[in-house]
Amino acid sequence: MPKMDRRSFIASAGLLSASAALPRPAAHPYDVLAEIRRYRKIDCHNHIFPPHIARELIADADKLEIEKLAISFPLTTPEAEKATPDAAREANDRVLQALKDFPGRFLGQCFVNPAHGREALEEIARCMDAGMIGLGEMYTQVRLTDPRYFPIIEKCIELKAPLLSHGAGVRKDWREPDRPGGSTADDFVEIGKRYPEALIIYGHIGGGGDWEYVCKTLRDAPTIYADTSGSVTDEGMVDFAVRCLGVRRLLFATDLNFETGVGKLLAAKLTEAERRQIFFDNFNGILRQRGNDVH
Amino acid sequence: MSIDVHTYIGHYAFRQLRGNTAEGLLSYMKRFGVERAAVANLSGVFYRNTQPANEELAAAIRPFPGRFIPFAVINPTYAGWRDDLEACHRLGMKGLRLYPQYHDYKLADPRLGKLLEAAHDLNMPVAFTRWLEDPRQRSWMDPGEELKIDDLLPVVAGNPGTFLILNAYMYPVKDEHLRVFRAAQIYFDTVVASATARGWSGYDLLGLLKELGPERFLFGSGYPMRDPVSAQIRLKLQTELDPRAREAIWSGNARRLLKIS
Repeated sequence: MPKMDRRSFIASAGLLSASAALPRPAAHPYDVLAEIRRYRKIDCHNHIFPPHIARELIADADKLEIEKLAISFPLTTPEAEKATPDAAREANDRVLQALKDFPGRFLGQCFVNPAHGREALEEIARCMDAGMIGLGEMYTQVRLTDPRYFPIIEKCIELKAPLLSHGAGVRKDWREPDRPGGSTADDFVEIGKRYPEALIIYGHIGGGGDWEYVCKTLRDAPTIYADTSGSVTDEGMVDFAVRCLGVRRLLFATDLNFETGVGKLLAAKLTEAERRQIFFDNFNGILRQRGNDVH
Repeated sequence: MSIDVHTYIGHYAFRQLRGNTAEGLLSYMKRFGVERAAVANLSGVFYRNTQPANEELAAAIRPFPGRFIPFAVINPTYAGWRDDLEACHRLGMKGLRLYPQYHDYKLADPRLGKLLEAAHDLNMPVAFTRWLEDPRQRSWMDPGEELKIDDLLPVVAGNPGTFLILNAYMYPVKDEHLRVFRAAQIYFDTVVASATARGWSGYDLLGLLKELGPERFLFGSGYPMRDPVSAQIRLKLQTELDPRAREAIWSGNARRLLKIS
């Protein structure tokens, strides 16, 4: 079947005639679009991948009224040696280009591989000097508790820069065998104790892992933040996270799952003030520490 | 008003649910303007003998006539399934939800074929679900099986007259899928397709609508397994669609398929 563009699809006689006999649209009592508009939003975990994704990201963010998106281009290979400094630099250059192309809409997050200590620190300096706001999405090459990670975290503390790391907490007592460098919730707890002044974010409690296990584990790490993104949109997940971590430590994010990212927060049994905190204020408070906050 | 083709009552074995009673669903339906909900009892996924779960469902919705469209959970490899099916039909069940991944049989099992024939004879649509929750987070007691669309193709092709509903996560990704699906009486719910152009699922609802036509899509929320708002957003954002086509997805297609006046 030949592909149709959107306009010709919508205008197609078949669609119009098929629907002509249907009843008129009815009003729905829950005005979800008004609820979307009610909250300012900063997405603290999103990505830019080629080709031409920046424009699509902005279009999708506009649909959900997301003012700013923190974007990164992580190298997701589990083999640490393949995430080379050159490849990381090239990925970060794409993020920097998006910042230039869409001024005011993106917040840049710098990806590095901690296995390449000196080059990683140089790349952090380059990216932060160019206007990025922190590190992300740090992936599964090196575990947060690995001593090779420590200089990276210490640099973030010095810069007052948040560090978003892929949360690899999947199931109780189980670590993905092909990603031994993935950081589980237990690793976040351990590194939070070592560096309580660091601004470390557990990436995507809805990323496919056992979110109850993750949230109960992070309860013991009062300095660790968690973002609400990921494709999982289980009813009650955000409420459970609030019970375990408190509103203050939760950050809105989509990780490219736009409507579920917003939907799961709107669905949670929270006050308007609590939703405001998670959608906007909490991450903006983190950004404020370096003077990058949104006004 | 909409018709939600994908809701549950009952207990999920591995996670506490809220709103998983007829009263809980009615509260959800009132808030979101859902006129009727197609509902099955999750307990039927976990009981060895599923029929008590179907009887529980019938009893739970009896006080609320006209609000629920009951779907029975049947295991075609368990003793007496044909009697159960007929009993469910007499109880007013309108369709079936099948869970081969939990009931320990393969899609190629000939007993499934016999059940599909019987469902066709009774004019009952049959729904399959790829998984109840993301298998990455599964319990150590969950078999962790998922229905794969490639495995489902022979079932679809072999039962062209049976109305099939694919609940959540099962959308065509290859030309072969499209060819088979276009020739079948097949419907998809909107639980997982993405409202936006991007998403890890790779399923963009507008793209799927282009490929298959809006007449094959049914509004579904997955509540109370899934949050109830995301499904609302997903359809509300399809502003480029003819509003009447959107309304067909909200309720018109389900009305036609399930013969609701």
